[in-house]
Amino acid sequence: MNPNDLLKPLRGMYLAQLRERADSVAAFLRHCQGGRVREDERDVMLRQAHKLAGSGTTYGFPLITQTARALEEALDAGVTEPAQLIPLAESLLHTCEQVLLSVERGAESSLAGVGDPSAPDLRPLLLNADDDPLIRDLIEALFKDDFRVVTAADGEEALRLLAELKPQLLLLDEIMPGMTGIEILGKMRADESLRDIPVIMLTGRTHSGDVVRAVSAGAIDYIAKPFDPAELAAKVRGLLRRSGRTVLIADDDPAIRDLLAYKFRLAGLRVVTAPDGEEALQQAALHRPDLAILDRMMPGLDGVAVLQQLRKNPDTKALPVIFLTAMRQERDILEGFRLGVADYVIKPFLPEEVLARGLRLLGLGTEGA
Amino acid sequence: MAPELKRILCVDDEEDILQVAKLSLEMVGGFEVALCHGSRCAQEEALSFRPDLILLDVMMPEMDGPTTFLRLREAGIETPVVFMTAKVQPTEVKHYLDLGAIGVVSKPFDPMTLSQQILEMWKAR
Repeated sequence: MNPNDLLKPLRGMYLAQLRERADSVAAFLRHCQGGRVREDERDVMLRQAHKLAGSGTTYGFPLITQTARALEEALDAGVTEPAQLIPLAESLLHTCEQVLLSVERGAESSLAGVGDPSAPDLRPLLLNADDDPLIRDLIEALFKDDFRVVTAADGEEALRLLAELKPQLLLLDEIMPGMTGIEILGKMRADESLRDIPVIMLTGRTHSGDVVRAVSAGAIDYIAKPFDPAELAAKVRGLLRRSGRTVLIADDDPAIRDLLAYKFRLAGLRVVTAPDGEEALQQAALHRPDLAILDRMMPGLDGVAVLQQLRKNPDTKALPVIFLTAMRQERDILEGFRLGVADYVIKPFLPEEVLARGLRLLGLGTEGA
Repeated sequence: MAPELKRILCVDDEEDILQVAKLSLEMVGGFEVALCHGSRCAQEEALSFRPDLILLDVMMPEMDGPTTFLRLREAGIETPVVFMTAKVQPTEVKHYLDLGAIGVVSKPFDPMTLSQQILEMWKAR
C-alpha cells in the first residue's frame, strides 16, 4: 500500500491541527521578539513542540519533526534567552507554513481539476444532527458546495461525531429520539473541547420559552421549522466567517455585559467578559481577544487606565477598543480618540449598533448576524 | 496468552497519533484496534476490549505511561505492553523493559512499518 493512500483520510485532521499549532508557534515567536518569555509561555511551547515533533514524520513531514525537536530540546534544557529561541521558533514556524502553503496550493489546483487528487478537503466542516431524512437531505443540498457536510441521525451519534471531528458548526434539531437538543447542548457546555463549537438550533416549536431555553443552554441562534433555506444559508455563512474571533466585554453593569455578550455570541463570536478593569486586563492577557469593548467608567481601573495598560503590552498594543460611555461631552470623546480608541458608543445605546461597529472593526460583515 | 496477535489497544493523549496508529494497525497490520484518549480510560478499556497488546504513550498529562502501566499490573491486568516515546535514550528503553514492557516504539513512528515492528516484539516476547 502507498503511504499517501493510507494517510489520505487523516491528512485533513492533521493539517487543521498543524494550523493551530503553527499559530501558537507564531505567538511564542512574538513573545520572544518582545524580549521576554514567561515560564508558562515556555511550558506551552514545550508541549506544542513535543507534539509537533512526535507526529510530523508519521504524517510525512520529517522537517516538522526535525525543527520542532530542536526547539523542544532547547526548551527542555532550560534555555530562556529569547535570542537563542528566536531562530529555532522561526525555523519551525517557517516549516509549518511551507507545509500548509504547499497543501493549500495543492487543494486549489485540485479544485481546478488538475494536480494532486489526494489533497485534503480543507473546507469548513458542518455537522447536521436531525432525525428527519428530508431535512438532512435539504441541508446537505443547501451547503454541499461550500462545506463538508456530515450528518447524524440521533443524539448519541451527534456527540460521537462532535468529539471525533470537532466541526466548525453544529445544526441541531431540538427534538430527536433518545436525547433532546437541549440535553446535547448541556453535554457540550460541560466538555471543554466542545464548548466553543457554535450551535444553531432547529425546531418545529416557536414558543418564546423554547427560544430562551435553547439560547440559555448555549445555542447561538434558533431557527423555527419550516425554515427559509436562504435565511438559514445566510446565517450559517455569516457565523462561520465570524467564528474563531474573540471579543472582550468589560462593564461593571451586569445587564449591559450580558446584553452585549448575548448579541456578539449570537453573531458567532466567542465572548469573554469582565466586571472591572483589573479582570479585563487579565482576560485580555489570557484570551488574546480580537476586539475589546470597555466601559469608560468602572470601579478601580477605569476604561482609560485599562486602555493605557493594553497599549503598553506588545500583545495587546494594536487591539481595537470601543469605549462605552454615559458622558456625552465632546472633550471626553476627543480625549478617547487621542488615547487611541477605535470607536465610541454613547449610553444608552442600541446593542445592534455596538455589534455593527464591532464587526466593522473586525473587518467582518453583518450578513446573517 | 493468545498465540496470535489480533487485538491492540492504543493509549495516547494526542488525537492525531491515535488516529494514525489505528489506521496503520488496521490497514497495514490487519489488527483489531480500540483507542483510548488519555490514560484515564486505559484500565476500563483493557477490561472491556480485552486486547492482546497495549500500545502505551509515555508522556501524557494526568497520568504518564509508566504509572498507567503499573496501575494496570496492580489491577491484575497482565496484557503485554509496548511503550511509545519520543525520548529513545538507551537507558530509558532499558528502564521500560525492566519495568516489564515487551518493547519500545520511537515516536514519530512510520505508519507503514509500525505493525511489523510490533509484531516482531510480540513474537520475541
